[in-house]
Amino acid sequence: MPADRPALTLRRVAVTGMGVVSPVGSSCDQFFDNLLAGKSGIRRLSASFAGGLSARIGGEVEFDPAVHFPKAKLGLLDRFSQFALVAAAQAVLDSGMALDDKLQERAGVFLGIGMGGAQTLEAGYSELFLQRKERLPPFTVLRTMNNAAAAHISMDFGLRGPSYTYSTACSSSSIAIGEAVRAIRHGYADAALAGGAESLFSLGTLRAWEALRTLALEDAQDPAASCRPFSRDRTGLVLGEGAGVIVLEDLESARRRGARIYAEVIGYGAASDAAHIAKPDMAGQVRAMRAALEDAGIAPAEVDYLNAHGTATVAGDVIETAAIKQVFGAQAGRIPVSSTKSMHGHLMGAAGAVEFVAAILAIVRGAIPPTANLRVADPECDLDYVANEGRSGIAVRTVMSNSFAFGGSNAVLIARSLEACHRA
Amino acid sequence: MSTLDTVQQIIADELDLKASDLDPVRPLEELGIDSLGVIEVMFKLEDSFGVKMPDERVPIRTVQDIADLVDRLMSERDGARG
Repeated sequence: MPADRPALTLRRVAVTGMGVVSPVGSSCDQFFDNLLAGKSGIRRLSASFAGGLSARIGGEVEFDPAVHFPKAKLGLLDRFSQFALVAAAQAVLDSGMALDDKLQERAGVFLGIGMGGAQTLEAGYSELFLQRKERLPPFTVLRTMNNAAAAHISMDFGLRGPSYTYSTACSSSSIAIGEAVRAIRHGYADAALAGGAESLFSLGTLRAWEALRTLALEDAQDPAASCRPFSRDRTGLVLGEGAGVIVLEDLESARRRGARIYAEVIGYGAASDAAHIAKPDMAGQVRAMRAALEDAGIAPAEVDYLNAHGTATVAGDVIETAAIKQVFGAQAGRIPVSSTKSMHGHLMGAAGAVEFVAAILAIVRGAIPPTANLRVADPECDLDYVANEGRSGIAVRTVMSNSFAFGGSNAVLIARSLEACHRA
Repeated sequence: MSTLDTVQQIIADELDLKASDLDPVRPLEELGIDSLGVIEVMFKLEDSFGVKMPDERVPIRTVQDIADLVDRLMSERDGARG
């Protein structure tokens, strides 16, 4: 640790840049405009193999790799790494940050990745098993490894601080962002690119999810409305792909360079269920939300918007609702809670990051995106889910984003507008 | 097309280079081809020429070395068939 930094002084952490690649848009503006308007990016999957699936729907990203990468480089990049790099480039550009040698030395990469290069691996194995080939494409390992995306971001932007990849299923990128915040707070880095990426639309992966019986059935009339969190007629989650990356900086450095500061990350809580590999657990979720509130040093009632985990599984939404009630008590019904997964689907490793971006944009835009497709009230889900219609023109100062994972690894992030931080 | 021509074309296609820039006797590094690039090209050559690259490390320094290796593997293969 450099001698000029006093020990044990916790630094504050600002969000100064954001980038998204998502089924509802691949710029922050388009992403949030569509969410606010309740527009779903879920549709029938385009791949030829999708026809045989019982649920042939997903949140696919419209994406032409050739626009972003030269052919020689593309050979090294699975689709999840492509998404991560594009989101990272958006975020860096958006931040206006000058990545000089001094900052590069002290900047890290913190990514959440679920299944990494599942598509590359599956394509390689199908050549091996079906075409009886004796060789796999030579970059199979380099494309598939979970840390490939973080490595490419580190190389492309010359970031020589810590580079970590977290893989905790659905909470991966919330944990990545939370750990990046801690690293900056505690002085292990001055800035970080943090977020997550995922792309798993391959036959094997979709069949594996199908077998688990957690995927939504396709809505026969309107495939785009197949994901219905908190609605009594919900049937399960819809997979999505994409990436979200944010630029985190030491708040004082960000101020010194005159950066536009979207929000301060004031709270991060992580807690495990220690209960069941797949079934969500209310106590674990409560612990994670309380840990985040305690870390932020705020009362539950100060939260103006909660971006729920809200996957639209029959059990999950009821348990999250109960957990929110336990944490927020009498205030629970007054806090707008929405699941944007209703529109972009469940982005797995990228879910926490894109949803945190949505929550921060709620502060920036003074608007709250809805839970789309909430058609039938469920007596067991009785909070204000911002049903079907987004809300604009409201002051959103403090936001919470929930991510609860298979395996019971829960993570909750809290961000606050800087103006609100000053008042506090 | 000679083996060398075909090898140059495959390298150019795979690595986004111009075939005419691929001087057969210059070191590969000077042409902007690193070790990963060589591995990628070898994989394509196996498919294109229907040969199997040996697992033991063969010294490859130039495009000509690659073309020579392909020629040797093709003659060994055809010899084995005969």
